[in-house]
Amino acid sequence: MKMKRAIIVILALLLIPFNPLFLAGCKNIKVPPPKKDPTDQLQPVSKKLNIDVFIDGSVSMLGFVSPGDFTYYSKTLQILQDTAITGSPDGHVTFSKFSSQVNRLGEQEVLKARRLDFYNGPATRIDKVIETASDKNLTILITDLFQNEADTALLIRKITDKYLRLGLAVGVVGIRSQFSGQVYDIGINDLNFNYNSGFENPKRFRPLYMMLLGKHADIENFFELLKHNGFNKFPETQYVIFSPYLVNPPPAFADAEFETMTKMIEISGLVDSNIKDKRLRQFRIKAMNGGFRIAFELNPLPYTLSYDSKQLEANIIISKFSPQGKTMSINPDSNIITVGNFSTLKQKLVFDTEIHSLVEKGVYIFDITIFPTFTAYKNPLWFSEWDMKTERIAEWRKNPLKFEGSTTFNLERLLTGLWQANWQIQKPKVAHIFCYIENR
Amino acid sequence: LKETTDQRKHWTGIFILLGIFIVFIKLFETNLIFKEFTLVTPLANTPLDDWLIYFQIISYSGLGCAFLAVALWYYWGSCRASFHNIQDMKKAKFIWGLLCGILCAILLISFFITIAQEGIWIAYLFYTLNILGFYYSATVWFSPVSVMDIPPGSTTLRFSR
Repeated sequence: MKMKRAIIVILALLLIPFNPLFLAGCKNIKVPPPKKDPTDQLQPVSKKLNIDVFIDGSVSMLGFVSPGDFTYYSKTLQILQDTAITGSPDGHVTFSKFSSQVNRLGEQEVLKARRLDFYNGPATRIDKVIETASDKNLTILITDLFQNEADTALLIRKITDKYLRLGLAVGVVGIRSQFSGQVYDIGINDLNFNYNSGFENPKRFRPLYMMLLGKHADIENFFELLKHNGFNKFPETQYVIFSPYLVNPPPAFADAEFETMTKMIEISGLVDSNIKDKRLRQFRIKAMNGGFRIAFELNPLPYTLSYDSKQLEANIIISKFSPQGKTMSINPDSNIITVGNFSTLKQKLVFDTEIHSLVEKGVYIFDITIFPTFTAYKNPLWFSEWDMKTERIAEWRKNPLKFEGSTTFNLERLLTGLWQANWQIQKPKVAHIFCYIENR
Repeated sequence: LKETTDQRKHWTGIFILLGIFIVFIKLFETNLIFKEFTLVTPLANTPLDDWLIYFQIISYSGLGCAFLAVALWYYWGSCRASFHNIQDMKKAKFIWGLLCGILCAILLISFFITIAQEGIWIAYLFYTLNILGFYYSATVWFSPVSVMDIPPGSTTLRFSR
């Protein structure tokens, strides 16, 4: 009798956790995982890369070869040729000369680029190169970027349409080389000035540029190869890349540290546990309002433009997954989430996320992209320092000896135009995260 | 023979009770109260799953200590205890109290090593229930005959004598 009563009590106790009342809240809903975004992660360096090199053969380049065969321009051609061939062991390399037209060069003809008679073209039509180039290859142009006003606008548009719009990158290497000759078509009156840089002071050398068009990783890799092959010994060389990428690897939300968290609990199980996505974190909110302050490790890509980390902005797409399994989008102006108060400290991006008045039950999906605003970007100093100050043309006209041949006409306009176009189309991001917040 | 049968019954009861507490910790305390009803808010950077693992480790360790105390009590009660006078009764009460005191100390340690932003008192409540509840109920219901009346309230709580 005693034993029977004891067994009944024990069984009753055992059944408590399985009571329907206790199990009422145990129903789990599986929310779809975040969609893949190819622009989140930098594509790796191409294993098989075809490189097309285009050498500016216009007369404006003549001054770079006239001082002799020992100039930085001459070395640039040599290093470029070596790097292109060794840098694409599985791909092929082509060389072309461009001016008003593009002409393919034979292997032996490339050597002629160090000779004066190579530079006889009437104009620098970079847009023609862009037209003929393949966006699947790495396209490299060697040019003095001689562009008049109309050329510059056209060039920005062509590069934007063919490369930036597709998520490809534009890299520019600024090189200074000895120069002796004519600098053509300066200002609206197309004035010509004679310029001799001398051999001593690199600051007086005339700039020439290597423009690289292709995948970001290939351009960055090519920069490194150029440096390794001798560019690191060049004076005053500058590098920049415009692309949709500012960081790599992208900051992992899953590894980020919370500085504070209020009324929220990090949970699991909202999405299938087999899905491992470092952009995703799942929470349960314990009240209508909650939030967190989080610190991300940032890995800025070299050669990209710097920006003011306080001038970041978040683009938020909100959707709600109901317990019935339906996903509906929510007006981003609904003010249920604010992301802001950005700052950086020791390579870490810190910001606040606050949730307001989350009334309806369900799982809220916050797709948050953080990017520098247009005004956050800072042009590197060399953009303006290497840019020709057109307001001084009158002065140079009176005194041609004062002509600043160490600068490039319309350089700042071209480079600024390129990053602005890239920002308009791609809005390069520093972080892309997904907050799944369950409200029960 | 009678003693052996009683001992077998007692140990069966102790193990069933242990099983109940294990199931209780896993299904009721962990899965229901903390995971589903989220009555606790861990610190930032501590996901709920990690906190629950931590809670379960402490709970099962505490329960293990309580089981050890019950085993010691049973061993002492069945093999070592001898009751000739009132002093022996006091000694038995002291032993029961000492084991209870050690478990209280373990309970206090578990309080100090568990942290959360909100709802920590529920964890404390469960620790107390798991450790002291198991020790008390096991010694009340399944003590050897010689010491079965020692735990406070045992005569009242036991089903029948």
